[in-house]
Amino acid sequence: MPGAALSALALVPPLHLTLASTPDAVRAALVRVGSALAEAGLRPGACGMVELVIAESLNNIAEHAYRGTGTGEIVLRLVHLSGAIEVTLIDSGQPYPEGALPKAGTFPALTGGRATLPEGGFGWCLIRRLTSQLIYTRKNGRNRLFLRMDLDCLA
Amino acid sequence: MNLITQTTDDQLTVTVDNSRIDAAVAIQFKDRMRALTALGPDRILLDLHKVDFIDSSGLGAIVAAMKQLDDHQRLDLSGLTPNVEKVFRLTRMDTIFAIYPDVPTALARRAG
Repeated sequence: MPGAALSALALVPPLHLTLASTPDAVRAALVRVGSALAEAGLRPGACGMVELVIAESLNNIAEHAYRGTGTGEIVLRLVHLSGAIEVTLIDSGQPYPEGALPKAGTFPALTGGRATLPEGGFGWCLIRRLTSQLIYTRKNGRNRLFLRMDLDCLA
Repeated sequence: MNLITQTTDDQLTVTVDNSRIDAAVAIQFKDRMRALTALGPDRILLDLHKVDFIDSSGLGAIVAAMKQLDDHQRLDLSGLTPNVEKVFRLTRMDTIFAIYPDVPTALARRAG
């Protein structure tokens, strides 16, 4: 099927966006990422999970690095390799405590009844679960987060 | 955030008429749900068939909408699209809610 082979090779041109650290700007950026990935023929399931990882990462930057002020700037670069998506996010907000990403290995427990169910604490678990590589560096007053998602693992 | 409500046989169906439940609308969603469900019937069905994206803020808002119900009320879900279903599965929230494929199926089967 030559058609299928061709569409599998239709990579997205690298995306480079600069956005404000507000929920509305994050949403607009995600919509752009989603439509670029869909146009490139990425399966809807993989598109959705890439969008989710970027959403959680951008929300963390807006809420923690920029403390929810909405006044920060975030740079997003996305590269579509064959079989993987690599995203780099750069901000000038506060560094992560102790210079490292939160560990957040396991999803919050759901035992204990309705009143004690968690309403948060899922973000980092989702990011870690859906990425194959995650690198955080702090340099010259900027946070840089590199995320790699293997498309085979996002089904 | 647009929520459409319908009451059938003493069950309240709330259909989310937006394609995304994310950080931009999570608090508004939770507040609107509180207003719609207060003094409402025992069973509330949240229909998500128009929602194609949810993040952890949106998921948290749905959990909050359930937690703020009275003890005699319950919140069930219907119409999860593949991306939304995946988020519920990854976080295991699919084990907390009764989830139905669509509204008619949910209304026909009153979960106990």
